[in-house]
Amino acid sequence: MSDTVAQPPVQAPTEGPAHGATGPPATWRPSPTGMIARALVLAGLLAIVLAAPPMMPGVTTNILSRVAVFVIVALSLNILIGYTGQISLGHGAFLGAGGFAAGIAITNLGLPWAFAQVVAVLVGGAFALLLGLVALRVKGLYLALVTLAYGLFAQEVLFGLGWVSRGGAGMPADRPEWAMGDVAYAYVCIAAVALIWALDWRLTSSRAGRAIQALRDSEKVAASWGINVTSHKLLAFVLSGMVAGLAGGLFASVEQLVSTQTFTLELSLTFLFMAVLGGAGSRPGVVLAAVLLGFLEFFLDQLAAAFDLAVDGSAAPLFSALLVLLVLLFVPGGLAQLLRGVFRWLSFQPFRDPRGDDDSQPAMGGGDGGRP
Amino acid sequence: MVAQETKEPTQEESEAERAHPRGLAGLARLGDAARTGTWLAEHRTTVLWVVAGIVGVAVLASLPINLGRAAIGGVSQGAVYALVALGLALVYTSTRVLNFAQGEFGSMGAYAASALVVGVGFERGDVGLVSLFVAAFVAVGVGALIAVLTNLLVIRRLGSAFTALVATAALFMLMQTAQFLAFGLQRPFPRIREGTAFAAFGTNVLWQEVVIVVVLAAVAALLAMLFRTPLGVALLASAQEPYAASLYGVSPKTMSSLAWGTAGALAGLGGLLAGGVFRNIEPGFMTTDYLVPAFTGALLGGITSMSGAVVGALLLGLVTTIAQQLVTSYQLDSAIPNAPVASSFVVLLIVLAVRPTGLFGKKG
Repeated sequence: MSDTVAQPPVQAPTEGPAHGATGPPATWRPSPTGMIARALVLAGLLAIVLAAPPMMPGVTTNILSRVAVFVIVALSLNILIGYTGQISLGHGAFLGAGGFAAGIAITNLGLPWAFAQVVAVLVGGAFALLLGLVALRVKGLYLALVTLAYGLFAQEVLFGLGWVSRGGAGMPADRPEWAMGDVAYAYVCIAAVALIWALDWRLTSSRAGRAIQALRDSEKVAASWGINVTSHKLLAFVLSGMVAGLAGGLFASVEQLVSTQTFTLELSLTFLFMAVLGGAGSRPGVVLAAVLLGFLEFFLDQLAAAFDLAVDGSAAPLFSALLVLLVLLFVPGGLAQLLRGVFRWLSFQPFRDPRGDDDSQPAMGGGDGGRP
Repeated sequence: MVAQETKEPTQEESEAERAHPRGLAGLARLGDAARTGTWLAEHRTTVLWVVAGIVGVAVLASLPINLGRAAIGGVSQGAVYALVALGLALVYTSTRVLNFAQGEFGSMGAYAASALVVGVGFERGDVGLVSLFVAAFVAVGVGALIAVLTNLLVIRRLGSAFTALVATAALFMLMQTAQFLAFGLQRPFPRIREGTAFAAFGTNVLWQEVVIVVVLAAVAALLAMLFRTPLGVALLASAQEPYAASLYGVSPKTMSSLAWGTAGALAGLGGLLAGGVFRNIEPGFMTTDYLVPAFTGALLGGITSMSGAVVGALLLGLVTTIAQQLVTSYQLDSAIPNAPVASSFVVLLIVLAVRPTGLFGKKG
């Protein structure tokens, strides 16, 4: 990288005939070579993901499962931050609620694993509904404060209850018989990521999804277009909570034990950092950021072991916080802004935006200008 | 005709507003009652408060708790909340940022004091006057320095209140991990003076509690004086109306740095006092133990009001202490695992549902 002026993104060589300044027509399609190149890259990415579980050394396969769970939580937080512009500092509470619900369903009630996942989804949604009802009354920064207190309340009070945490020992949660092994369970988690990605994609292109996104830009304008602000805000909260609940259900069976100490403020903030680092509102950006931050600790541990460094995985929060600060200061759109052309190219679009709005940044926050 | 009908109430309203500057319709109606004459109507709010106070004290007295212990423990606990809450309110009024890193300014101050003032008796728990002053100077200075740097290097460069919130959250994480990497999981921290000061109200009052309350009183008095000096007035004016203040020659940038610096200094002082409560400090202890109650206290009193933040934090200290005593005496520990957190969450919900501007806060 030269330290001169930033270069505009270079047109990909596989792009097909170059288009003029007016931009391509609305029904732009890549050239046959462009199609093949994109398909190859996507297939390569898919192959890497699918090949990863058996390739991870020994017990570290579970790290992969955990990262997959974190990706799901980041996507669920993205529904709130990216689509509605509401912030949540207590998303660990939904993860924990789903996790303990699944653990109780499996261990105490003896329900089958798949049914326990449904319970986790419902409990996560119910938790979010309660928070959403409060969120309807308060706005902006006050909501951030409520979610913060909610997360702390869940961690210290709800998950500390004797019958929930089994007196502090933790709630066991067995895996299903058909996915007892670490590798098999990692595939289950990855499949869940794919499912949530598809659902999220459908959400953003549905009527309700568009209504939710309209709330982010301006509640008043959205209301004047006939969007029911109250119900759509609640819907966003409940959807986010349900997805996070599913993540919790999956998370419970990764270590096969849900313990209270997991769902800390730091974990909730990590999810927030994933959404911000990826670029709130961008699905591929958020997923990429979640993968990066999720593997950071493992990566640092491996580095420290290989090169005998003093800094190991325990420094991971330091690096992720630094990354987030740098992103906020210099690239407010996060990875989605940095890799905009790449993401567009991979989704069978031209590398450059045909409409030329490359300077637009994904909305972050919003709603009512951030003042309570 | 229709136009007249809609116009009349507005005229009445504005008249009422002139008579009653706060302009609330309910208060105006109260005022009307007062004009018609009875003493009760005129002093209705005062009477209500007095009645509520009497009922409250009666209820408290009937509870199975040690009232003296609750009062002293609650006030000393609330005083540390108040030091953090004061900083939150200062920063919020001057820059409209909910500062998530406020607690960590205090932790950093406490760690700096504990690291730098080793060897003069500070780590052993028999703090001499000299080392106490050095430690206080270090804690306050480090807290203020980090806060000012945060404002200059980060907050000022960010656009919205949301990005500022995320940035302060990232700073919290940064500082907490730095503390962990540098000092490990736990580090002993001395009390300023060990032992019991005196016995009163059916309980032993610890020196630590006396010191905390005296420090808060001194800080409150100092701040009250500060806000009457030209500098303090400029600070408040700049917080209220930055543009108008700048027309009077007050630099909003200087004033925001002053507010952040003061907030950091207060947090440093809080860290120094809170560190001694459990006699050891952990990475991020000011955030995990004090930030959320301080936020709640500030909100309870009204985050736009300094005195409100102090009163709210003290009240919250009382509430959490009483809740803990109640849970202990009714043996509800397994039903309510962390009574202070639970009660402060309930208080937060009630405040937001009933009066989001807090007891003394203004709209805005």
